[in-house]
Amino acid sequence: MKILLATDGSEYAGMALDYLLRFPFPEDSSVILLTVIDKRVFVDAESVELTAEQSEALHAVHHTVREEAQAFLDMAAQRVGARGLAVTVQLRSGDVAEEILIAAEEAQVDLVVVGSHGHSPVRRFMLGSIANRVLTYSPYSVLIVKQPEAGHSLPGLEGEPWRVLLAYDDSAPARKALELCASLPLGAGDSVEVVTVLTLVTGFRQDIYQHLNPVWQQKKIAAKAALDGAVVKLHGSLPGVTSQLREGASSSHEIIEAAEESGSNLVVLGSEGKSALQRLVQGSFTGNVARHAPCSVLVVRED
Amino acid sequence: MEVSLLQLIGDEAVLQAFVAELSIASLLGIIVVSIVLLSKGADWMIDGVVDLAERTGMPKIVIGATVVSLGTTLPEAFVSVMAAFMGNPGLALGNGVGSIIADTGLIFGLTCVLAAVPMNRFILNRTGWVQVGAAVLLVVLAVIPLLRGDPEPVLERWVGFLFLALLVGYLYITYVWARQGSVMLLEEGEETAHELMSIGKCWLLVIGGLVMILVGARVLVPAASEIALRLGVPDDVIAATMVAFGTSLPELMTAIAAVRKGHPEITVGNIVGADVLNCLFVIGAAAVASPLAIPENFYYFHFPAMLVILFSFRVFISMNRSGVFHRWQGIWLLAVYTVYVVLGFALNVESAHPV
Repeated sequence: MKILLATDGSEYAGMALDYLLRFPFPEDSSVILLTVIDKRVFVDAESVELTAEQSEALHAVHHTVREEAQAFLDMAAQRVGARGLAVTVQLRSGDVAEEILIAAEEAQVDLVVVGSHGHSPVRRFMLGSIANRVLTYSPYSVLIVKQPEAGHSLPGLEGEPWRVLLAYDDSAPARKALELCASLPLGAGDSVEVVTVLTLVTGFRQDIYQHLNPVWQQKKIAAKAALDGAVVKLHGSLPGVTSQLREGASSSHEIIEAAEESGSNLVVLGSEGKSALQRLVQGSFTGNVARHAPCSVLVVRED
Repeated sequence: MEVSLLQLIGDEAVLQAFVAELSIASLLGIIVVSIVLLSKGADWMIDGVVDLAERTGMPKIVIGATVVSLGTTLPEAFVSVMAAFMGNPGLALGNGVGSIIADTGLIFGLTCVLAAVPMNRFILNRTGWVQVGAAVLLVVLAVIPLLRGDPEPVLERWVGFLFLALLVGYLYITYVWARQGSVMLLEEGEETAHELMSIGKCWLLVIGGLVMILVGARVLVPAASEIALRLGVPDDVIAATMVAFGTSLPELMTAIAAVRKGHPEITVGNIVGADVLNCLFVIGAAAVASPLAIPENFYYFHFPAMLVILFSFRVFISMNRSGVFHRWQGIWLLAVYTVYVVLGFALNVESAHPV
């Protein structure tokens, strides 16, 4: 698996690196560490008239920032290397989200990893503009790393097993997410919960009608069968697989609630590659889960 | 979790969770508040409509068929569009057709029995044709795929766009007829017994009243269903009663308030308008959201029932040269509706609200 980790030396980026180092990637994975120097921070020396002194000072600052970024990248690369993964570094400058997307495309990565804000209900809502843009526009899978909930340490450490929640609806992207979960080298204490949500119209209690209807009951049986199929596939490669069939007005709400109830530290979901219209119509599920989930979220996209 | 009033009304999951946690006494309290909202809202709206009609010279029946109907069909539209988006298109179609049957058979039938309903023939003759025409068009478009031998007939997305375009046409032509109609006949020639409100206040009462009705219905149905569920009332009984009438509650409350205040012609307008809108707006918008599969029982049960009720109504309009709907006509509509409900249970036909 080819992974691109966008890092900026901040607390969130450090957390994303820590998470990445503990993530149970397949052994042959390689990592590109990328730092982007935000071009908006520096005055464009050519477009503004500067005195020789100002220009020199600007260059000096630019130089320092690059040096610091490079030093940070090298340090991070050492840590990734020590984990046994092949690693390269890239230092770019420009619009941060745009450069992350360009670098991902150039290297044809499988996964882009970005850090996001913390876990309090308000901050949970704030995905961060970079993470949000990468999630919205990336055609590749995206892992958004969030700070662990209070009282929890990073998964992968002693006493903190991986508790993965896989949102599954038997669609092509969901099957891709299932495959990815099956390929993770999880340990004996780790667990995976597969959750399928059947949405129904609860306004004016139309759900009571729906529950009584044979078509709905057939739909439920089919969903249960697909869910059981997914569990069987995972059982072959993973320990501790459970499943849950939930019903509710909103799939994203149910997934978030399920993650909260079972104390998940990673939510995995499949998402279609998107055109602008699809982003508008279908983007809400992925976006809502990424924004409101109490833990890190891995959005798996089709090739 | 702290929730705001707006979240309670707007967010489905929040409302459900809130209702589920309440005690029976609190639920009863909520039901009382909802009923007050519904009846006060309907009263205000009718007051607003009556003065608006006098101020603008628009017949009440026209305001009933446009503004009031657009408001009272919002629950059906909301449920149907949500259902179509969520991949339950049958529910969407069922809501539209089921509401036409309940509004005309039950609510208008009841109004006719309770009050002498005057009719503005100039307007009703025309909008009545639109009412029947929209339903016939729906049935014809539903039968075409069946005749083509399609094993799973659907109302395609283009039908939805066509219906929405026709809806715009309907609203425009109603406006034109209203202008002609108000010139041709001074409505009922009644004397104004009170001081008229300003147009702004009329609109405030109409819109404010509508909002109160919609909020009341939205909260009443889950609260009443929750109590029934806790008391062990079977799901199918709840489905056939409070859930079935839930989305038609605004029309029912409007009809009651209109009869009570002596303006039953608003109900005629509301029912005709709601029938047209259930077809063009509710089913149209749902079909645009997602093509609507047509379950088999619609062909042999729900569509025929809808057509019998609508054609009866249409015939009554032509018959009533005296300018008033007769009580026996209300009894006929109620009888057809009762036969429809009883037959549905006896033959075990799935309700018009399948998944």
